[in-house]
Amino acid sequence: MDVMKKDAKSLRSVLGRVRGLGSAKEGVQHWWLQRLTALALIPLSLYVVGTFFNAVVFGSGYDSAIGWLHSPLAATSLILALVAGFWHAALGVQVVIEDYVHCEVMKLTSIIAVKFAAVLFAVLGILSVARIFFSGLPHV
Amino acid sequence: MLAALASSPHCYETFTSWFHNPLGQILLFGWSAAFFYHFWCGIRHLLWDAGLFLELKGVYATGWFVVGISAFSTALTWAKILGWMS
Repeated sequence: MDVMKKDAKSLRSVLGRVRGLGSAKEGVQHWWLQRLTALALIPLSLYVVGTFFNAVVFGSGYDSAIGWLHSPLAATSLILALVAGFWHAALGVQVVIEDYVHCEVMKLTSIIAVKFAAVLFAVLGILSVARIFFSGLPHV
Repeated sequence: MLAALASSPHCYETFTSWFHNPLGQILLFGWSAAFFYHFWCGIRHLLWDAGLFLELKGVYATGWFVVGISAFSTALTWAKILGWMS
């Protein structure tokens, strides 16, 4: 709590002095985004898993899956689920790595790799949804 | 999955053929169970963040509730799937 005492001789503000001193080196944003994406994923994940089983795993094949993705509701939900899902996953895996990988080089490398992979797969998924949504009939 | 669907019908059929053999379906069952467990545990965590069920009794009760409702959700999903398939 020493750092919180206002030193009359110092021109630095209290906030300026405490910034960067905690073990996390950052604020509450990571925690908050994990919760926010979790909240968004409650309806989105149920919808995506439901339609995945329905139209893809036990559906009637390619045409029914393509037809499903031509609906604006399905395409919108899927893109939102891809963004929220991969974001949530990257944040979650980052916490696991931070907690269990103790070698600093390995820790930083794997966190960066996880974030790059999450963005890669999210972009791939969004591009695929967009390609199907904006394409005309199946078998083009 | 989406990339396979966007690529070609053949690519997509190759992908879905995984779900039509026993190994693929066992993996799918495990994945669905893991999904529901993660889903309900996540809601339990959000309730904790809201300040609910934080006393030891509530922690135990919601813990067992999560186990039960996860098993129930998974069973319900597969009952529906097996119903569709037959």
